[in-house]
Amino acid sequence: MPRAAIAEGLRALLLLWLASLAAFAVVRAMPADPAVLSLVAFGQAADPDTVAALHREWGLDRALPLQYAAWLGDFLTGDWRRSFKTGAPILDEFAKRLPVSLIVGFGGLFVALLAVGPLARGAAKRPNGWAARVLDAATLGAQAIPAFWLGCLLLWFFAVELRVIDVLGDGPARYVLPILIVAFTGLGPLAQVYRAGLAEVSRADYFRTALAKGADPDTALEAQGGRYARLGLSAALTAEAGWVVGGTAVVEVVFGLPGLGTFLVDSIAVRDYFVLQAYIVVAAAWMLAIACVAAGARHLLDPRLR
Amino acid sequence: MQFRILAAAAALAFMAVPADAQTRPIVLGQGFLTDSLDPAQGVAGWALQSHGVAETLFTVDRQGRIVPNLAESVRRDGEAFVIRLKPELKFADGSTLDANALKASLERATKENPRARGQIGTPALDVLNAQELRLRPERPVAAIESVLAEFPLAIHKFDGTNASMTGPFRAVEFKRGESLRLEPNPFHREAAPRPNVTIRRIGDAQTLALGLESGEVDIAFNLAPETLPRLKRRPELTIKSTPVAYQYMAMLNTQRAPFDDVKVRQAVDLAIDRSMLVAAANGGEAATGMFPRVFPFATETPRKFDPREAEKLLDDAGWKAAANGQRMKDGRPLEFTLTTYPQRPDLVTIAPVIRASLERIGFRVRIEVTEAITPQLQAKRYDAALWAMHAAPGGDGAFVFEQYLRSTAATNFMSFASPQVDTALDRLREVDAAPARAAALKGIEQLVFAQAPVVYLMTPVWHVGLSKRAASYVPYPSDYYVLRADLRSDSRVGP
Repeated sequence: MPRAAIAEGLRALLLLWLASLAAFAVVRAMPADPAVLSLVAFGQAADPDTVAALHREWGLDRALPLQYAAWLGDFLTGDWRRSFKTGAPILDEFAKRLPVSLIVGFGGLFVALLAVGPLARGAAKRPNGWAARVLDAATLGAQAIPAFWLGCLLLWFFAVELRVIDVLGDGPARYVLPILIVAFTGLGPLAQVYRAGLAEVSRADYFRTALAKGADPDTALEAQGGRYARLGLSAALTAEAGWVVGGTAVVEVVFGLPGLGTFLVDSIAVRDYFVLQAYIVVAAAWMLAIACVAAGARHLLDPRLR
Repeated sequence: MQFRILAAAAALAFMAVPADAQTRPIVLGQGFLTDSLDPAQGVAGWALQSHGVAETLFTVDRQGRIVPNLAESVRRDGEAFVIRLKPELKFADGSTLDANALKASLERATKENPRARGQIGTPALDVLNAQELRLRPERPVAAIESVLAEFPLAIHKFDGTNASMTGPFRAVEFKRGESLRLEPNPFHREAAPRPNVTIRRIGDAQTLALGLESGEVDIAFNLAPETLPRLKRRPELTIKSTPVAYQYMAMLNTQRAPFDDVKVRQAVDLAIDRSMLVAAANGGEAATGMFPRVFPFATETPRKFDPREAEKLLDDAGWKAAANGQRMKDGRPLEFTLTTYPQRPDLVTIAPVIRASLERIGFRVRIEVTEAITPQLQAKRYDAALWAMHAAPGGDGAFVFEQYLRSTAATNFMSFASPQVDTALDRLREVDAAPARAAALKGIEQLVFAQAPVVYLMTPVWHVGLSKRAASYVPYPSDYYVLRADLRSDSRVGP
């Protein structure tokens, strides 16, 4: 077991190192020079001297392998450099913005999970019932309605027409609508997977046997199929949780939340190299962490894995 | 039951309206916010100047003229310049801005910020007396007033932790990426009752309009045109539109067919009905050249609209019209891709109008919208690209010609090379007097018209939405100065 854990740990480190290499290569392969972009954006002369001075200031005047080695060394020791755009330490920006994205992302998934059970169970039991219709409509709606449009519509209704929330609110209330939108987009995929698991069990012989023995259908479905359906749900949840870091950019922009997503969008436009490199590595680490948690969950839920 | 719901809704609505709605700060909503309170860092000087916190020695007035601001005057002294400060200037912390403080500010700016060094290098600075400083730039500078109006040279005093500036407002609380709370600077030279102001960064145009409608935003800067009909229906709001110092244009890649042929470029210039562009954008003015009419060096004659002459030019260039109207040459159709970008929604709006104008004379035009236009221009991966830019950021028109049309310029995205233009720009570097510079700029403009590497389209208007509390706000023709000393408290605005 310890050897397996060590092997897994080494594999994770190798993956993270490859992610850092890919981050560096991909970001540096992007067309355009951030120094020129920055000067042009603010109506300044992009003369060779100024461009060279910015390169020196940002450490872009050395050979690429040296730049990579220096950046990786700094990154591993907690110096993630400063943003070209904001001038602020990137690690501080991530530390400040990551909680905002996590609140929105995980808050949305949590709210979605609250609705997953009742809707999926109802839909599994009665494929033509109201729960199934609501679930199908929610799934279709989440795919067809852009989060941007939905966000604007909700803001208009609650902030302009009813005036029960603030467009520019500062307190915890500002998270309510973004969380509901993330929940709306996540509900369909999660509940459909859970519903499919339950429906599969409800067609199984052992379930029909349980019913024939006089078991209550609701209790029997949960007892016989709950664990199996949750196994599928955990896989779907892994995929949904993977994009929590940076994937909530649209709602962050619409609701003016200073999360990682808005930082990422701003940084791509100006080729803020160190922010983008740090983001890719953090996203890779996040995916690995989620995958680890998901593997643990599967281990608990699936006795065949023990 | 219904009564309870109504009562609950009323209670919620009551809670949502702050009790101090009439005395709260003026809220300015806009898409940008400074990233730092230190004007020597990056481009913070630009944003702080726009926020009414930082100032420069010279500035650009509403008519596009460079005028003294903190400086009273500047005079040439051989290869140096003597800057004379206005009397009794103070920083926002109450300390005096004299020649020594000015020297410290310029030294720090040029040491800390490569953008400042890009203006005057590392200059030699000598204090002559309390009011006068001699500045000798490291490289020759012709229009020194324009250089001293540039944001990297914003005047400030740095105590090792905080920077104090001279603008009509000073910072109270700063949340990076979110908001900046300002109060009036009590030491500003133009004493007047000014309101407290909170600047909120609102990245989305629809959210900005919604903030104005909900009563949370008092000044909504640069509203998207599509939100205007809705906002104009609200009697409590005022929409003010003003032509700005930006210019919309189409850059033509002179290294790529069909724009490697000057006749084709000239045909494009002649075939576009600029009045239709203005109508499509819901306001603005047809461009007469590189500079909006607000600038004293703008060309006054309108650009010619003559599709027949455009067709003749294409005929002469060998592009013959087929039966279906499509022009061909050596079996190739006359076609190109017009690239635009969503960050300037007006450009996306006018692109189909340009296509319609050009297809009428036999072009085939594809429209491409890209999220990041500048990298594409820099890589020269485009045929024709719509572009918006401030035509004279420091109030001097030479800048854009130097940056975009000099053959060796890093941002000569059109790959335009004209020895005549380069020579004229060399000569312009020797000219100091504003009238002579204006005449020279108009001459260069004619040289550019003849080669048509760029087609000037229109001067846009920007729309500012105002609540009743800020209805007296007067927009400036630039985002370089959104909050200014002329913002006053009125009877409804708490100080």
